[in-house]
Amino acid sequence: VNSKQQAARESRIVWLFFLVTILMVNPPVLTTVNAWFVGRPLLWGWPTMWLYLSFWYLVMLGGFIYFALRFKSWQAEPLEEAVAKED
Amino acid sequence: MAAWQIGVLVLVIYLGIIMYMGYRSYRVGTGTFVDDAVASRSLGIVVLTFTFAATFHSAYAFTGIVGFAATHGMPFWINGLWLVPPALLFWEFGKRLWVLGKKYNYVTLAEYLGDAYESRTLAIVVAAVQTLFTVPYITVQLMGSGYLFNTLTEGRIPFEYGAAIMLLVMVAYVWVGGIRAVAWTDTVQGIMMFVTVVAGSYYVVTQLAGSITGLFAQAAEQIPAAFSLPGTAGFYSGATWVSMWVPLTLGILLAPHIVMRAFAARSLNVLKWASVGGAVYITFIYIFTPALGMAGALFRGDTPPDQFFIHQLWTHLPVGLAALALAGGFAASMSTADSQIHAVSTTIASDFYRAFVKKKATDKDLQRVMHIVHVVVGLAAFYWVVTKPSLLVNVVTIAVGGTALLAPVLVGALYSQRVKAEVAIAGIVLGLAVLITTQFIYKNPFGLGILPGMWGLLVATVITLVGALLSPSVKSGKVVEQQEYIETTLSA
Repeated sequence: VNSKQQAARESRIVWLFFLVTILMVNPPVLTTVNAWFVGRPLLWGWPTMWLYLSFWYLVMLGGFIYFALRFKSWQAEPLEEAVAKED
Repeated sequence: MAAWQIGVLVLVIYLGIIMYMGYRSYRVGTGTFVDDAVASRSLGIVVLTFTFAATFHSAYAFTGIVGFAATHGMPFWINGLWLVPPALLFWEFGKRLWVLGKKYNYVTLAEYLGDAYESRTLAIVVAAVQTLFTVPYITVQLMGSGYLFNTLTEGRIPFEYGAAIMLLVMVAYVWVGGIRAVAWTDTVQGIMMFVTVVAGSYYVVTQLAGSITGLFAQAAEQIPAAFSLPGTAGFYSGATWVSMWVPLTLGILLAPHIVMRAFAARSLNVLKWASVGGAVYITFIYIFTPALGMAGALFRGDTPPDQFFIHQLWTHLPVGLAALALAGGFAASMSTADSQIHAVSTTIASDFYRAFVKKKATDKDLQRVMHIVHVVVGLAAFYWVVTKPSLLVNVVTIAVGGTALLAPVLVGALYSQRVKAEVAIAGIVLGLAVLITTQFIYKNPFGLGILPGMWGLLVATVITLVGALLSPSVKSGKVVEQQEYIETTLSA
């Protein structure tokens, strides 16, 4: 797999991941789980809706950190070398 | 010593530290326009993280979001959607802008877009949109500072005086230190803002209700509608939810004081980790805000919801800490307003003066223009603080939706070779017309609950897409050259 193919594959994973997490905190998923918030406003003493949204925001954040650490196409050093070479 | 005198003393010390940092930044600066505009592309991870995050969230962290939570309940946490996604987009678009900025010496978005589309008209439209929708926000930040000053002095000093003092300090350090002064002071201000919002929220809630879970239990019993959609005020339909966060995410990101940060990073590694760090910062700063909002809903009495947090900090904290907390509020206002003053002055110097008045302007010429703009914009913002014209409120209402209209143009330049300058301009202009129409004249078209910013963005996107589909892909030109350069470097 060359670097271009790998970058394309990683890009697809990133966009798919964020698409799924964003769908989870938007209608129609959000309006569907809203029935749960109405029936059970608190979970472990905290607002269920806030916990649900925060969970998915933290998943987004976790994914962002994981991609920054592990994805080759996000590693800055080779890209900076390429920029320096082009200059 | 009276409480208000201690408050003023703490504020003077805070302003002294900020001024000193501005002076230090001037001492290390190189005195060139690129240094004033983007710190010679030298900002490191810590400074870029804080200047991105602190600029992103303004006095809103102390006032607006608390009022939002108190008024609407848990749906306020739609705010989370314009925390992580903009940071991701800051990296996604930012790395491309950084690469191009380094090669072509861009310092503003308008400069890049004008070059990519080979259209000076487009550059001026983009610069005009960014300037028009940023200046009123400076006024809003000054009003926030003025109110804080009034609280701190227990009404002894009118709020206009407070706003004037803040403005003078900001203009002074932006004048001498450019973006380096803005970024360094943002770092201190960002730390103060984070500590004050997190610790202050927790303290206020536990003082008022004993415990956070106890407060939530009380609120769930008294205002159950606050715990689900459509919220306490019945505002959030599905359409409202989506049409609020999408334009806000793009509009905040494309405001000049945010997007310009991408040109200022020392390296791509810095840009990446500053994006991640910014996302962490702005996600965790609001950890106790739902409780604070519920406390506001239950206990605010006659206090306006926006002012509840500040009022409670001043009432419940020991005086020294209360003054420090309000200094955190000043930090929140100033960290955004200074960046806005700087971004507007850079945009006018680069995209109006250098593009149309004096093509071979020297660094000194451009810096002189920036200094003039600091003063003119500062005076205009202060004039609006005093007069509070209804036009100001109207412009602020559509500001974020206005800058969001630039998103299809940016995406077209970075990823497509089919979007023509004329189509991009038509998208912005017609999108703006629809935004204004749906905000002020024909409200809530078709009764769908879609907010005006989304109508404008939809029209701009459709025009750009249709225009791209009807046009053949160009085979040569600046946009092709730039995209090939991005492809070569970013897939290394």
